[in-house]
Amino acid sequence: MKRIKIEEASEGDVLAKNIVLENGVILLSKESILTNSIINQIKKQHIYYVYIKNNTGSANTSVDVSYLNNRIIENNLSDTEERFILVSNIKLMEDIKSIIKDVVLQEYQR
Amino acid sequence: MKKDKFDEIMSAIKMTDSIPSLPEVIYKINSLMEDDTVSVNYIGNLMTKDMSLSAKILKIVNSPFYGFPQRIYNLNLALVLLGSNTLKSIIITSSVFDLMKDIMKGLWEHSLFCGLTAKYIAKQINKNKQLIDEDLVFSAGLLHDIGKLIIAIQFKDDFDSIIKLAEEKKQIYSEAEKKVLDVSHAEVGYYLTKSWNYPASIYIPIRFHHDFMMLYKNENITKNYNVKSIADNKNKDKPYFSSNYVIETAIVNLSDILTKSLGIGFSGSIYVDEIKNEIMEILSIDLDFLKKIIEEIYYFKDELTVFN
Ligand SMILES: [Fe+2]
Ligand SMILES: [Fe+2]
Repeated sequence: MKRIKIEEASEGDVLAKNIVLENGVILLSKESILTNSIINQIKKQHIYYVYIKNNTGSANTSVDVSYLNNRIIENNLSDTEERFILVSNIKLMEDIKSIIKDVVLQEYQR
Repeated sequence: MKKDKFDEIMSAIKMTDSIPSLPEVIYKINSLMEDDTVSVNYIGNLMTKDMSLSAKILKIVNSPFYGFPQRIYNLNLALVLLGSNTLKSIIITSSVFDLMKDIMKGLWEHSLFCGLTAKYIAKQINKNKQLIDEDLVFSAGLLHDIGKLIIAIQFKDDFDSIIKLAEEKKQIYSEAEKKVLDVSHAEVGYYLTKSWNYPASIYIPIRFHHDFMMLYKNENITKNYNVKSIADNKNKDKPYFSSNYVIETAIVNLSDILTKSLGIGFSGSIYVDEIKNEIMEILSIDLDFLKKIIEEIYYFKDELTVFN
């Protein structure tokens, strides 16, 4: 099993985990075979990463949620915060930090 | 306890042959570079013998992020278009890459990203001014932390304690380094690149990439001295050069900090250092400029793996 960006998914890939929306609805169940139109549907739901099966690995059956998007944003933003702790009293650096946070957020919203 | 390693490190540099797995081709190219009369074709042919190296070089120069206007299919052409210093930097960096991966995970990404960022910044500053040599700035960015590699190889224990100290005490790498060693990676990189016959436009930025204010004061730089005033007063017939490469140094320092700010790769400590106002002033740039740069370079990260 591996996590890939939705842009990297291609027809014929097999989902290794369910894709669960934030409201709990299962968009696609594991073992689904991706087609181009399914991939486009996934993109429309603002899902950026999916777990697919690779030929050798076995799927982790214990966790059913593949939609990790929000957690990744949070980690990314708190990492940014941490990196800037030594320069938190400098205006220019605070400005740069917020520019970077915006860029990170934008990437997830694309 | 702080150890006086200066002599030991310097002699290690003098015998860089002792560093494992630097390929033969670097030594050959180094000795050839000392001789200005050696033809470009000769160096090109020498490199072509190492196919994986040639492939790597062509990948880098042809990547959209390197931003070379035309596609380069062979190394001889790459040499002519990029200059031997740039090519040598790419060769050295990509050759030590495997070494970097083992010794210090992330340093390659940090270095390459810093080089690409430095080049991109130089390009945006240049626009139609054509002041800064973009390829030299790329080289300096690519090699700026090469001293860390030497320290990591020759003094593994000290290197490990620097990283540990930086993490525990939440310090930038240079601060922790000062507490462990009497010599900095910037000095080591400076001696190393100087001994490899690199031009001052590369070894000065490497030397001062954490000591920008030292260079700034040494050169008696004033607020009137900046990219804008230099461009305005530039004599078309005379080539530009900045006072002891203070502008090139500012770009490398800025690129290093931006690379760390974005959390690309790892260079020994995650903590970001301050961008001095003098750097903004001398480059005649503002926050808006930085915003545009960050929005652009952030996406370089997705391409870094292409070079693996
Ligand atoms: Fe450094
Ligand atoms: Fe660095």
